[in-house]
Amino acid sequence: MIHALPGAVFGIIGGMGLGGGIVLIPVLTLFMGKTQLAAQGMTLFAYLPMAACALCLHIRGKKVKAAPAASITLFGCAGGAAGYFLAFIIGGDILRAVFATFLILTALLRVWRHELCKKARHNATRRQKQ
Amino acid sequence: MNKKIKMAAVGIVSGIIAGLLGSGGGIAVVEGLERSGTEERRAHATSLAVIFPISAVSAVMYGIGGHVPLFDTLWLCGGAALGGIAGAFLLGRVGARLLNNIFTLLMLISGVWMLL
Repeated sequence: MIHALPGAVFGIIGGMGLGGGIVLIPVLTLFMGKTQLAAQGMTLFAYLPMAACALCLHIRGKKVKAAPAASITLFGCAGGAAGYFLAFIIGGDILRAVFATFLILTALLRVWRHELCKKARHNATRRQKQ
Repeated sequence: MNKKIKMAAVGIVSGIIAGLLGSGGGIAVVEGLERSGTEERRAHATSLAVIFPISAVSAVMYGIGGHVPLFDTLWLCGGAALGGIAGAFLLGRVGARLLNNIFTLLMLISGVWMLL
């Protein structure tokens, strides 16, 4: 029952569009004693009800591009199945290290993107002043 | 490069990331779409649409593989659904930038912790 708590936190972050799954996995492995594979599978399931809600809101707003979405989805599902087999073959410990590296790289990417946005905004205001 | 091939590549790469790591596929879709000239808001919305079926396929694979404990996951899903509604409600009312910074910091800390 304790799992409802990280679930709710993950839902709030995800619902705000900040992408919660990537933090839910370390919470499950570090604090709840789940294996890497279990944590990843659980996170994928937890994502579904939350994404369904968000998706409904977006479809109503008509922001979803249909044509490229179809081909990305098709190839993405094949990739998803392949990814699972890859995870299964690699197994727990190495997978954990791969995930941790991905986590750090993603965090750095976020910082970098944030800096780029700031710079663009700064340049725009300077141009306005001139 | 041909746009169709580009979209297929975005799909395969983000699918493999989602299946392999259990999350992060959406980030790959957004990156790929923005690089091929889709505007940011739209890229985010599209990533939601494509990552849902991709996650569903991957989740079922993990389930069939017997890696997912049923009851813990049900509680987790219940919490996530309620949290998701709360999050959508909070969006625009709470400082998303501060939350985003805290979140990025958490990612860095837990990434390093997992490597140790």
